[in-house]
Amino acid sequence: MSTSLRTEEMILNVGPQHPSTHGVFRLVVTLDGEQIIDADPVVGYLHRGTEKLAEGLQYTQIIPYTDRLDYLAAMLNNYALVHTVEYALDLEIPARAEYLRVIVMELNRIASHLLFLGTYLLDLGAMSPFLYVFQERERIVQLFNEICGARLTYNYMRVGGVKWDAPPGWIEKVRDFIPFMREKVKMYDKLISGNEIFLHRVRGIGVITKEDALQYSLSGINLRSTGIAFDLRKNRPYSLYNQFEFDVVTGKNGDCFDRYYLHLEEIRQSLRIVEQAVAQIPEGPVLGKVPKLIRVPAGEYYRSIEGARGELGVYIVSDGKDKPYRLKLRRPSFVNLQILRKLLIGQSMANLIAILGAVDIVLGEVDA
Amino acid sequence: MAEDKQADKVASSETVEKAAPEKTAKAAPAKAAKAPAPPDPRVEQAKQQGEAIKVAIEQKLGAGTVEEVIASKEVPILRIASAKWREAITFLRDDPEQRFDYIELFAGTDYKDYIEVVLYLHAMSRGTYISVKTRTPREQAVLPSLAPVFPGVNWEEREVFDLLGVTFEGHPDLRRIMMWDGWNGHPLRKDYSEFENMPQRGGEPRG
Amino acid sequence: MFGFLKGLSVTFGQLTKKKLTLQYPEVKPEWPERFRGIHEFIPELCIVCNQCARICPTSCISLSGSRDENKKMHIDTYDINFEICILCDLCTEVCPTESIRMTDRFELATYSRDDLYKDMHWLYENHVKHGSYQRLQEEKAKAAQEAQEQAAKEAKVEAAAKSSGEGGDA
Repeated sequence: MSTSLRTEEMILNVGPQHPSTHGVFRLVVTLDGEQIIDADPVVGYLHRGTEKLAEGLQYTQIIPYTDRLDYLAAMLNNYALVHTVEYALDLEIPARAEYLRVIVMELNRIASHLLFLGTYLLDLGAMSPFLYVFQERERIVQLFNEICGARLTYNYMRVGGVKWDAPPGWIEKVRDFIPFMREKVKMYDKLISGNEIFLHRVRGIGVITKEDALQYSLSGINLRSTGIAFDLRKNRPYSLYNQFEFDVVTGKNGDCFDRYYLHLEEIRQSLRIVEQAVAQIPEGPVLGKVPKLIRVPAGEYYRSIEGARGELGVYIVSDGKDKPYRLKLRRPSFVNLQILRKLLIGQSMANLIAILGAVDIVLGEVDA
Repeated sequence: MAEDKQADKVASSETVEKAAPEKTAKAAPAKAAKAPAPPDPRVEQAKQQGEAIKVAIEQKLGAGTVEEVIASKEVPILRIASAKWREAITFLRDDPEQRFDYIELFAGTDYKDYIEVVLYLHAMSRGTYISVKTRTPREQAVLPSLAPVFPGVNWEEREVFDLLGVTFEGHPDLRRIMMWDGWNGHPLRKDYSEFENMPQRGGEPRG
Repeated sequence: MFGFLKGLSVTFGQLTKKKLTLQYPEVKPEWPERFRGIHEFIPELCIVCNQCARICPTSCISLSGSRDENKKMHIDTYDINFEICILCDLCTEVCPTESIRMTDRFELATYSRDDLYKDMHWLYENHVKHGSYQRLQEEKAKAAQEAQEQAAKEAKVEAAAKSSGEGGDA
C-alpha cells in the first residue's frame, strides 16, 4: 500500500444493546481500517447499588439481592454471602445442608458453563449449540425449581443451612442426571472441539500471559487458562471441597480456545463432585441452630469462593448490628473485564466478539 | 410504612457513625475481648505473622510505615501510612520473601472521620494471605494510585473514586464508572442522601 | 472434512429425538409444589403480626389491622405491590399462621402499572393448585357434610333396623 493513501480513524460503538455483549455493555472502539487501536469499555448501565442497598438490609434480606448479581449462577452468589456470615459467626453447618449446598452449587456451575458454551458459539455464528445446551440446562433448572421453587433467582441458602430439604426422589433425579450429562459433554466435545471453522476462529486469539493474569487479578477460568492452577476449591477449601476428589484443569496457551475448553472440562469435574456428593449425602437436619436475628460481631471479614466466573468474594464490615456497616462484593466479571482493552488492541474488528465472549462476563455482576 | 423504614434507616446510620470510631480501633480483637479468658489462637498467630511482615516493611521503607497491626480471624491486617501506600504494596509484591503478587479484594469503607481502603493480597507461590489498608481524611480524600503497579485495580479505584470520592493520584484514567459524569455526590458515603443529591427528573440532563 | 462429518452426525442424530418445546400459551407448564408464584392471602388466618412487611427486602407489602370486640387482631387491608415484589418467598417463610403463601400462578402482564397493585380480595381469589386454602376448606366442608350424611344414613338404617327389630319382637 502506498503511504499517500489518506486514512482516518473511525470510532465505533458496540452496544450498549448489542446481542453479543449479553447485557447492557458498551464498547467504544477506535478503528484504523479493520484494526482496533483503542477500546474503551463503558459499564454501569445495570448498576443497581446493591452494596448501598445492603447497608439498610438484614443479612437474610440481602440473599435475594445476591441472586441478581450473576444471575446465571445465583446459588454460588447465595453461598458466597452466607458463607462469609457463617465464617464471621463461626457457625457449624449440618452435614446434610452442606452436601445439598455443594450439589446445587456444582449443578449451577454446570448450568452456567453450559450457557457460556451456547452463547459463545452463537456469537461466533453457530446457531445449533445454543439450542442444544438449553436441553441440559432445562433439566438442571427443573431440578432447582423442585428444590427451591424458582428457576433463576433461587434464594435457597440461609445463614446456617438451606431453606428446604430435598424433596422425595430429588437426589435420585440428580443421580440420573450425571450419566446423561456425561454423554452430552462427550457430544459437545465431538460437535465443537474438532470443528475446523471454530478452531480457526479461536486458536491463538486473545492470548493472556501468566504475568498479565496476575497483574490484572484475573480469576477463574481466565486465570487457569494461562496455566496457573489456582482454584479456591483446592487452594483454600471451603464447605466440603476438601473431601471430594477432583482436578484443577489448566490450559496451556491462555487463548480463547483454552478458555472454551476449560469450561467443558470444568463441567466434567463438577459432575465428579456431584457424583461423590450424591453418593455420600447423609440424613439429618438442613438448618443449624441460628439466632433469629443474625448479628455479626464487630470487625471485618472477607471470604471468597470459586464462583462460576472466578473468585467471588464478600467483604463485610460489621459494627455488631443486624445490618452490615459496609458490604463489598468482589465480582469476578468486573475484575476480569479490565483486561479486555489490552486483549483487543491490535486485533482485527472481527475478533472482537470472539475475545469478549471468551472472557465470559455477566453484566449483572459487572455493574452490581 | 415506607416512611417508618426511612426513619429507621436514618436513625441506624447515625448510631453507626457514633459507634464506628471505637469499633475500628479494636476491630479485630473485639472477638477476643468478648471472651477475655482464652484469646483466639488464630488472631494471636495472625498478629505474629503481621508483626514479622511489619519488620520487613519497615526495614526497607523506614519506621512508621506500618501504623498498626491487627488481625481478623486468621488474616493479619497491616495499616500502612498513606504516603508510603504504593511503595509498601510494591515492596510486598517484589520482595522475594513476601511475593504477594495477587490482589484479591480492593474495597473502600467510609467511617466517621476517615475513609479506609482495604486490600487483600495473596501470595500465589506460598499460599498465604494478608490484608493491608490505609486511611485518608474524608475531606480532600487523596491516595496514591496503585494502577501503575497493578493494572488490575484500575477499575476498582475508579469505583472507589465514584462511590466514595477518593481521588487516586497517578491513576491513568480516573473517571466515574458506575454513575454517569454529571452525578452529584458519592453514594457509598454514609452522609449521602438520595433526596439532597437527587438528579434531575428524567435522569441525565441532556445537552 | 472429517470434522464436519463428525459434527453433522450429531446434528442428524437430533432429528429422531422427541420434541422438547412446549406450545406455551395453549399448554401451560406443570410447576412443582414449591414453585414461587404470585401470593395467595387468607385473611381469616392473619393475626396482623406485621412480620411479612418487615422481612420484605423491597418493602412491597403494606397492611393494616384493627382489634375487634374480642380484642383479637384482624386484618383490614393487605396490599402487595407487584411492581417491586421479587417473589423471594421470605414473607411466607416468616408467616406464623401460613396466611400468606405462594401459588403456582406466574403471569402478571398487564396494560397498566396500577393493575399490579393487588389488594386483599384479589389475593384471596388468586387461583391455586397445590394445597389451596380455599379448596382445602371446601374439601373439609364436603368431607364433613358427607360424614354427616353418612352418619345420618347409618342412624336411619340403624333406626329402621331397630324399629323393624322392635316390630318383629312385638
